[in-house]
Amino acid sequence: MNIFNSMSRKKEEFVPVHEGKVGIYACGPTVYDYFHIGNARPFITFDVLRRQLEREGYDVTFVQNFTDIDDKMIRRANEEGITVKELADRFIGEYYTDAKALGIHPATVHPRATEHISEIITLISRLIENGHAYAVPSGDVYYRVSAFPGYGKLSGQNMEDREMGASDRLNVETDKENPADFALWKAQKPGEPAWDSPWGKGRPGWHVECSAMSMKYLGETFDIHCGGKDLLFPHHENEIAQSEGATGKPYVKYWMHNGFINIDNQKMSKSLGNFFTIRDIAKEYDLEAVRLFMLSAHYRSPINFSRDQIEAANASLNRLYTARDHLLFQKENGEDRPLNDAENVFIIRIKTYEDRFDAAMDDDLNTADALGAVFELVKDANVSIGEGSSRLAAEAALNSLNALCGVLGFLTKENDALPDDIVRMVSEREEARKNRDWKRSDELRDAIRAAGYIIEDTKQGQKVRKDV
Amino acid sequence: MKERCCARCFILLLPLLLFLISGACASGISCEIIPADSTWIPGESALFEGSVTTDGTFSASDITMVLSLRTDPALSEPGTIVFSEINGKKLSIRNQKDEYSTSLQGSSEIRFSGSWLLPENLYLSEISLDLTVLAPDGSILGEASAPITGNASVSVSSGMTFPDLAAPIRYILIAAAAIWILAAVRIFIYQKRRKAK
Repeated sequence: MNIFNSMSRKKEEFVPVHEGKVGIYACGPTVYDYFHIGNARPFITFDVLRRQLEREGYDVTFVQNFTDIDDKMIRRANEEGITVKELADRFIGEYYTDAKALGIHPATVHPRATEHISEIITLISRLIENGHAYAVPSGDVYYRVSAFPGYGKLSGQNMEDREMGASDRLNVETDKENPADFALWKAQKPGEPAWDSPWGKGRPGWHVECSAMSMKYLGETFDIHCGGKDLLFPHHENEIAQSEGATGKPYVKYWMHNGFINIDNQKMSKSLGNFFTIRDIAKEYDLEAVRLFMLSAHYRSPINFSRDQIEAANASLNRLYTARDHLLFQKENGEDRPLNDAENVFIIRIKTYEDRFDAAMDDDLNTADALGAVFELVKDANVSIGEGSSRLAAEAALNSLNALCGVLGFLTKENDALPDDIVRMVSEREEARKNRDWKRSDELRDAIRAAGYIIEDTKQGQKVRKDV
Repeated sequence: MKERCCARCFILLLPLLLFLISGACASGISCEIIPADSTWIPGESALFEGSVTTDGTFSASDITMVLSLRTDPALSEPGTIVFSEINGKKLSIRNQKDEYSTSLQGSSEIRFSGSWLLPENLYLSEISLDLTVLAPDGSILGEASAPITGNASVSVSSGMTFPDLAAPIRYILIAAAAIWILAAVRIFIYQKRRKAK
């Protein structure tokens, strides 16, 4: 696989730190609210990255944290009159609900910042010992940016410009040696939750939690760190400074960042009124279609969320489900015989679609082209598999479709059993057709359609599917 | 004699004609649209707000509000303009578009807000946010327009529509029609008496 590494700003061949194993760390949500459509993009993208690496035979450890202590959490908990922990517990639960609806697999580990205070304190202590951090009398601890010559290597930020820029701003943090230094530990303020530390009671800064938790679960050097483009600076830059400052080893081999999402060509913002949570969107759209929409563009490109795009994605999704139902029906009702010549050629073509899919995914996770390969397979299967096809050919196409869609996270809905009244009408229609009672047969077909199901007459019998 | 009769008929029918025209124009609705900023930056979003108000003479139950961006020179893709809130309530993603239909029953005012965006890298001498209020049959009930000047120091005026004047015009015309009818009756009686003599 080739990955565009944000550090080198070019595509690089993926070579894992440990052969056959991949460690991925993805920055997770701050759990003070439902997650929004912008958050969903990295969750979906890197879920697909993980699935593809697993398809390629890697043993993947996927770590995605929950930031369960920060200023927004404290503010929201105070507004609601509950503890920060209660707020975090509630929205972690909501995260799992929405992530499941979007087809996002749970990570191997979902560490919470507040459950890793000792690791965070150990990391900060190491940084103080080797001169990369300093405590101030107020109880805050800051990272000494000037002690890390590589600061800015990910974002391309020039340290001198940053120091000048920072010193131009109103500097209220007078304890800092340098305006560019950032907080590792924040001394307790009245009413805030706090933990004991060598510098007094306080709480961790945002950046340090990711360094501590990623290194705990993935080692001091691991393979892939990913997140939204907005996290590149300062969050990921600071993570590098903290981790490499403490260990002296390279922190991450490959950095991946996804592009932004716009709503109707406009940036998403609360002030514009176009800020939507996944929960809001689920009221109007099938989240599987939202997932397909997200994957229909390259993850690094900006993507525009609009009604037309989602409706197009929904139509594409329906094509996938229709193709699956068709193949399932043919697998169950097809001819019980070995493959003929045409079917053997079709099986070879299936392999080419799979190869095309893998080539696209290996080209920096080009899900748009990979989806193209899936639809080529669907188109071919719709033509090649029909009445008179062997069960084996239908089964091969179905397995391929399920495997490729499985990587992208589609076709998650099971083929629901038909309701009893539909089953009764279908069998009554079967009887009517036997008796050549076409009027009754048509009446029943219309009734079945009115109930939301489509019935097709094939040589193998009646084929019923839900009208989506 | 024939010409005089035609002229009299025309004079008598004129108020009725004016009355019908005013009736057609009088929607009893006024509307305004106010941009939050009088300048534009290509590629950047900006906000607007506005309202549609009805008076006692308004009879339609449903209206459709339609937004558009007008530019000079005209653009093939003139940008995005959408409603985002109606009466303080955020619209769902499906309903955030340039058109919104609503029922006016039980309400005399609809307040709205939204955002607009122009494509990047454009030179335009003029931009205007336009609001059109349509009846269920597609006829225009009201219109408002707000120019964006491109000059931050210029304040923005909201649009005002002709239908605001419809009610007073209607009362004046009703009074004029009554006078003309009285005059016609008087002439009619006068002529009858003269014939009788």
